Amino acid sequence: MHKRVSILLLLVMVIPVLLSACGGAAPTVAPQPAATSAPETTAPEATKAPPAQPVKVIYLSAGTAEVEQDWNEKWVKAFNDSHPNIQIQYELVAWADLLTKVSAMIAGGNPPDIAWYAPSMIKEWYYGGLLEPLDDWLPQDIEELLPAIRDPSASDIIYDGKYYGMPFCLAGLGVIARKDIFAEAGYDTDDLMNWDWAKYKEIMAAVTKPDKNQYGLQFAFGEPRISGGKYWFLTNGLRDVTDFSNKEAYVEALQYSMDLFPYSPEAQLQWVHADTLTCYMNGVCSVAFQGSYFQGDIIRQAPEVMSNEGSAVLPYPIGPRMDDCMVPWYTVGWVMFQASRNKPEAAEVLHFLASREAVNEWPMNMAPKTEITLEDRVRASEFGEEVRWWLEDWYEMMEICKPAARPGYAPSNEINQIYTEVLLELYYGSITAEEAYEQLKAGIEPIVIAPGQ
Amino acid sequence: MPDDVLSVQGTPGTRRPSRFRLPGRQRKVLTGILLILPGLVLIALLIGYPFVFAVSLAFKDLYLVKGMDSATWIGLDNFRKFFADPSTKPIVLNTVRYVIFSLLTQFLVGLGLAVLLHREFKGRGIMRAAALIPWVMPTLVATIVWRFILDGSWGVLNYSLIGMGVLEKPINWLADRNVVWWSLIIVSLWRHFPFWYVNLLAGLQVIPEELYEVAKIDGASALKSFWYITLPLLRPVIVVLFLLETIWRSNEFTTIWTLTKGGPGKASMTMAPYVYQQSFSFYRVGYASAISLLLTMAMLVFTVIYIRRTQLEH
Repeated sequence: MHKRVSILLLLVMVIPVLLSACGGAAPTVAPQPAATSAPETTAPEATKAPPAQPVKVIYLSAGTAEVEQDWNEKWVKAFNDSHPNIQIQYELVAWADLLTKVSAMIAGGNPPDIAWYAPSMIKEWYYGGLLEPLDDWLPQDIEELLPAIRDPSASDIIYDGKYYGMPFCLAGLGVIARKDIFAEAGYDTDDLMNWDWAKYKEIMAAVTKPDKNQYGLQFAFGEPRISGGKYWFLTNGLRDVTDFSNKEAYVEALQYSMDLFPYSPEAQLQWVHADTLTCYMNGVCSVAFQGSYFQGDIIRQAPEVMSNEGSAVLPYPIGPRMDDCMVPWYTVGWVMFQASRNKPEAAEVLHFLASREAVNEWPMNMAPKTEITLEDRVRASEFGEEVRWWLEDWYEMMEICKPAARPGYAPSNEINQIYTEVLLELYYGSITAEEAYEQLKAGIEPIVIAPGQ
Repeated sequence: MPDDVLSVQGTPGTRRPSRFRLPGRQRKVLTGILLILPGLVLIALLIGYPFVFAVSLAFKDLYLVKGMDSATWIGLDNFRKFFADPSTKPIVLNTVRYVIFSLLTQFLVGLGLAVLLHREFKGRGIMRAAALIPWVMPTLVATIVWRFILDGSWGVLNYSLIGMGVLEKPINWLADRNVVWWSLIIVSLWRHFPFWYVNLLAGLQVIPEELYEVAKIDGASALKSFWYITLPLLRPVIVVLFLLETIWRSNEFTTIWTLTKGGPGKASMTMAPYVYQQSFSFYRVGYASAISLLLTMAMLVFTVIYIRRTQLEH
């Protein structure tokens, strides 16, 4: 009897092993198309007969905001209606789950064809060997894109001379300031376009009133992705937190963060993105380090704050190693996966979605294509005229200040976690800025795959 | 009917032994195997395969950022890395601390409430139902609400305590690394005490009333009756609850991740959120599999005790 039970148990153990031996293998990837055999994406229907079954293109979107979903659904429907031979299968995935979802789908033998990217993500995908270069699939679109995007040589979509992303959104980063709190402390935001670290610190000290639960800024330690203080590297002539090329500049940036801690609320140690919005809306924080998407995040809840009278858009204060103001920018767009089984069809979908008409209707932020004007953006926004002052400020700031690409780094989550934990030790005063530099260097350098370029 | 009748052809007097004839006991076993085979196959597919796959990953260095095909066999390196990592000890201690304090507080509150609601009084039914509310609320919803309550800057708890004169200045319930533990344990208590209370109440309801009457006649006080009658007779329920809750609290994820993400820093990080962070945030799937395998082995001890105990009771 024991023997039989043993055989039975063996059977139960062997089946999974056999199954695991069958599954889990790397997916077969089709060879990259040669330039000569690249599909003619502008008129595909005319050259080939429609197949009996429409080809399914799996499209993963991270546009979870309502307006983003509306935009996606509209253009997916438009494509599906006009292309009976190709049907987009549109799936919504949160940014945080996108890499895991893509990896799981590829491992499971059902690879996605296209997806949204953000700066760090496209870098992680590229170095993971997951992306298909778009140059051969969409030569015409890439050619149109080149003069349009700002400083393509420093862009987040080019790796080893090839284009891996098709952007539809351009976001700027800067400081959003509460005009009422600044005015109460005797400062006019109109005079601060060229402010430096010293001026900024002076203002933060002036607006901080702990007895009134009012502070200057917040670092939001609870969500390493957005933990503040990383900006000070940029504004002191460094590329980002992974740039250890100039120790003095790095240590200065860390020391400056330390100097600002007294002007931030203690509760920030567990704050996440939503808390940073609340903090700005309810006036506990006088400024927010935010992007050009920020207005849409809070305009519904606090329209009086998010108005030309309530808030000002300012560049980051410049550090001692910078001569002029700068505005970091990045793009969000689409990528195609190397594992895609329907690359010609996926390219056709990208060509359609990246058209001027579709990108022009993107309801948030600025557009990467310079041919799309401020008036276009105002028309496209769900907030209509309410968005005009906001976009005007951003466009004006990007004219005045030097645009600085923020291509991201990989592995971003792990690096951000290391940075936040070291910043926390600085906050507690248990290490010095110099020690923090050494700890960050020791923690980040061995794992960084792709330092920002 | 003899066992072998079904397996023979012809009459008993003339038949020759069949090549396929099995002795009765073996045939019974075979029938049993055939009957449970679909279940075994399902278990193999749904539990065995993922488990074996996860175990195999624990010995590989699969790192998604370096690609799906980056995994190579590295033997015990993931385990060595875990034990050599200076953050391991605090994370393990955090987990033990969270489990011990959660269990003790939940046991005490659950038992107290069970004893209270075991008594006859008007509105007892409503009270019994109301006490279950925290348990039936979705964990994520409840925890997000607790985040707002406990926020150090605009939280309702600070507002109320300062308003009542209990506090002079706000406490950073989730941001202060000396206080964050108590916040987590309070939320865990609020969320899980109903499970204890329901089970302990069920245990109380099967204790014969006569035992208390006899004790009373013998002059035993209420406290002595509780100590010598109630607690010993509740022991089987208490032991099972402690075993189950040890497993569940050790694997606690949603409450800790939603409230603090293991922070500030790693101050409130426990094993389950750590595995999640390594796997789904840092994409170090091999390393995360090794940690989860260790966690599984630790939990297996409690599972075996639980199963043995249940078998003994039956």
